Amino acid sequence: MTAILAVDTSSELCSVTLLLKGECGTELFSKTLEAARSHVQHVLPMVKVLLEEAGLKLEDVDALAFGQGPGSFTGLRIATGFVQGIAFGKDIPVVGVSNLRALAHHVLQNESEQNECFVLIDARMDEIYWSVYERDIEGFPKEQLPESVDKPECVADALKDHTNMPVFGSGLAYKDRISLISNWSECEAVLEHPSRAIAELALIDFEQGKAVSAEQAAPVYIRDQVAWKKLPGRE
Amino acid sequence: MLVLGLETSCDETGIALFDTDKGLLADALFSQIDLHVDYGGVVPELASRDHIRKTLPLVEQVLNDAGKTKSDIDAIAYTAGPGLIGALLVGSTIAEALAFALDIPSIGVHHMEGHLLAPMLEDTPPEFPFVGLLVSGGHSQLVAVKGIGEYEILGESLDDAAGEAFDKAAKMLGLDYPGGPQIAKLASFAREELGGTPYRFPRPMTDRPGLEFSFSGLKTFTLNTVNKAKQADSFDDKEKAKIALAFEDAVVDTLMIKCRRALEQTGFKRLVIAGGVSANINLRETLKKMEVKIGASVYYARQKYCTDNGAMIAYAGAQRLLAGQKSDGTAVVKPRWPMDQLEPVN
Repeated sequence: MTAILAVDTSSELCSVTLLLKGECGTELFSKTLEAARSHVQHVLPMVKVLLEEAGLKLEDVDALAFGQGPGSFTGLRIATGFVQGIAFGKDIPVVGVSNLRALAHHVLQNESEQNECFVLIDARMDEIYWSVYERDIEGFPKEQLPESVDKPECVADALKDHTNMPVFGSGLAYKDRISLISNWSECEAVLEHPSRAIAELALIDFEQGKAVSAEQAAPVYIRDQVAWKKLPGRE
Repeated sequence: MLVLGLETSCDETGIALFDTDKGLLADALFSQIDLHVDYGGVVPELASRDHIRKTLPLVEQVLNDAGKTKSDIDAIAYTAGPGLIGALLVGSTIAEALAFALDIPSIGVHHMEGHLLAPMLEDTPPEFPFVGLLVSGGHSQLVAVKGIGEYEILGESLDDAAGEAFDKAAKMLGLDYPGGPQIAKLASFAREELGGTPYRFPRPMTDRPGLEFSFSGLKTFTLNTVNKAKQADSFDDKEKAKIALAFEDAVVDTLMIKCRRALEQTGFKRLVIAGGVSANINLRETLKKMEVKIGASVYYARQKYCTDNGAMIAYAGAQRLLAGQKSDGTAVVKPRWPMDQLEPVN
């Protein structure tokens, strides 16, 4: 059996999933709470309950997975710090999963006749994190356009060779500002447990030997240029 | 009991291993000064980004230095406030998760209590009770300390903290952040090479009773002096050094006058100076020289434990853990946390 413990605190939700892959198939146990600004209060108790309900101990977990971003900077660090602490303490390998890729996985699972999707996350400051993912041979999402952060209006140009594909994510409110895609369909499948797709994608990476050690677990912010002003002459 | 201490409240990642029988076994620090210097101050988001990269490698380093493994750790202490929320959360989240994984207790420590108790790491630690002068980038406080967690705030700054005043004055003089060490360097140059300073800056709020501080007037005075020198076309390195010395003298004098008053008011015979500004040599020497005159012994930590560090957090946490206190396992932090709200250790 393989057990993956996944956490995602990149949005207002605090979501944890325990994935158990055995000979008879894969089972997923998830918990998700609305936890804006209170992730740290909930994530550890939720993980404890999840393990208890499955009758497992930390020792039984083969890999830790986390939503590495993009998303709320503080949220990304809470998930990162949490898996760093546990992975270091228990010598468990870690798999970071892109939150855009996790969204794409959710879409492609729910839209079986579609092979591409446009995913976008509200990046605040009037911008979105976005990417286009396509279904690979195994059925998993593969990055087709590099994950970026942009003003919504600036995205259209990169999409000009694409036609209608499902659109999904917390950045949907900005969809109308991307003229080209305003008539594209929205994926309507509710994302109840964001950590679920993260656990599923992490399993593949783990099986392919792509897990890393605790110290290597790091957030991927995408927005690396933030509006901090350097002193004159130091730009 | 072997306690791992984590300090990530501002711009330094400090990690240490403290043994309650053998004392401090190892400590490591990563200072982010180079990261923030071009911005003229700490950029909170950059600070947090650095803490999450540095914490675990430094934990491994102190374990190696002390010849210990993680399974030897009996408890974890981390700074839970006050400080920058994002920076605090990095330390608290890693600490609580690690404590859970190792199945050991953890405790959130008050950053200023850490500073206040840092002189306890020295060979001749102060006994209780004492007057504590806490002077850092975020705090200027006089505290009556009767025991760990028994703190009565006697007076504090009504505006800028002493360390903040140093930073701002340094900026006016065109010096880099952090300002404290830069001003101290220039001031000592003026003292030793230029024969002192012709300027005399005001000693704010010393002409009236009370233990409150205010440094904003001194800041304005410094700015006016700088502007006059610029107008007179005399704002060169020597002039800057003279202004730096006058500024430092004014801060040191003010702190000294208030400390003397606090000792008189409480009747305590010991004075502890702690926090980043207590690394200032002029302040340490002035207060030390005053020992006989004020009839009190003066204590401070060695310079590396005056500024932020993991050792003081490990030490303060250990005292509370020994008394049976521990956290509830959540990594909640308190960016604002008045010191007099702390629980006493009996």
